[in-house]
Amino acid sequence: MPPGIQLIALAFALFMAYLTYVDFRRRRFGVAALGFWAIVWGGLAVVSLVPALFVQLSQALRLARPMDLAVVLGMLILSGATYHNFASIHTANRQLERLVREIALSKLEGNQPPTRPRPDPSASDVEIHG
Amino acid sequence: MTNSIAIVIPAHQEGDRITSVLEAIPKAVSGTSRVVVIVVDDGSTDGTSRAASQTGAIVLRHPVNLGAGAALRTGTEAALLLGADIVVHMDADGQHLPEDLPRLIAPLFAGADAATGIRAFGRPMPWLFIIGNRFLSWMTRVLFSLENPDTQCAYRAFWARCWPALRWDSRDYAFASEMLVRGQRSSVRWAIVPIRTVYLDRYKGTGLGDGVRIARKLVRWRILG
Repeated sequence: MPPGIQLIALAFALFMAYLTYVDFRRRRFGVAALGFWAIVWGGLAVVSLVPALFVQLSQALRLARPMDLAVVLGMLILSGATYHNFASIHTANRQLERLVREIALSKLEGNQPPTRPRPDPSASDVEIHG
Repeated sequence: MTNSIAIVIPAHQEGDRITSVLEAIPKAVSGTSRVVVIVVDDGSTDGTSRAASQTGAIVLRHPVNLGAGAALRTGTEAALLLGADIVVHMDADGQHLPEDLPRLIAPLFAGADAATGIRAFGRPMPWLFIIGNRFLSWMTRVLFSLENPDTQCAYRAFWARCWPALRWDSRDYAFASEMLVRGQRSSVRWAIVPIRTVYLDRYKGTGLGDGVRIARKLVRWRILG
C-alpha cells in the first residue's frame, strides 16, 4: 500500500474510532456495537500501519496484495451494514406509521363515540383471496 | 335510507383552501341517512387542522407527514370506527366536485362494491401527467387485466364491508393502484364513473417520481403477489 493511502486510511480509522467512542458515550448504542466497530476500525488501522502482516493471509486467499484484502473485507462489511440499515429503517418506518395512526385515531376514540358497533371485518360478503 | 356515508379527505398544507372545500360538501346525500366528513391533516404546518375544525368536520391529525395513502387509511379506519356504511375519498384541493357525489355512489346501490371516478384527460392537466396516468393505467391493464382508464383518480366510494379486501399498505400515491389490484384479487366489483375536475391552480398530484414508484410496485405486486 502506498504511504499516502496508508496515512489516509489510518487517519480515517482513527477519526471513525473517535466518533464511535463519542456515540457510545452518548449511549447511542451498547457495548456489543462498540466492540464490533472497534474491531473494524482497529483492523483498518493495523492494515494501514503494517500491511506486511497480512501478506500471507492475502496469498492464502489468492489475493495479490493486502490492499485487495482490505477492499474485499470493506465491501463485505459495507454490504452487511447497508442491509442492516435497510431492515432497521423499514422496521422504524412501520413503527412510526403505526404510532402516528394510533395518535390520530386516539383523538377520535376519545371524542367521537361510534354511532353503531364497528363492522366485523370477518362479516364481509366480499370473497378475500389474498 | 339507513346508510351513513363518511367522506374522508386527506389534507396536507391546504389551510387556504380546505374551508371552501368542506363548506361545499352537502349536509345530506340522496340515499343516505347521515353524512360525516373526516379530514386527516397529514402533518401540515399551515393551520389546515384549525381551518378544517371550524367547519364542524371531524379532524384527525398526523403529527408528521406520512403520505396520502397513509392519511386515507387513517381516515378510512376512523370512518369504520364511526360505523359508516359507505366510505368516500375526496381530494382537499377542490379538484373534485361535491355535486358529483350522488352519481359516484349511485352504482353502489345498483350492486357495485366500489366506484371510482375517471377524469377527462386534457387541459389544464400537464401533458406529462396525462402520459403518466395513461401509462400507469395501461400497465395495470397489461399486468392485471384490470380495465380502468384512470387508476390514479382519487375520487372513489366503496361499501365499508369491502375494507378487508381493499386494505392497502402503501403510504404514498401507490395506494390507489394497490387498492384496485387488491380489490380485483378479491373479486370486488368496481364501477367506473366519469367525473368533472376543477384545477384551481397548478396541477397537484402524482409526480414523475411517484409514477416511477407506482410502476415499480405494480411490477412487484405482479411478480410477488
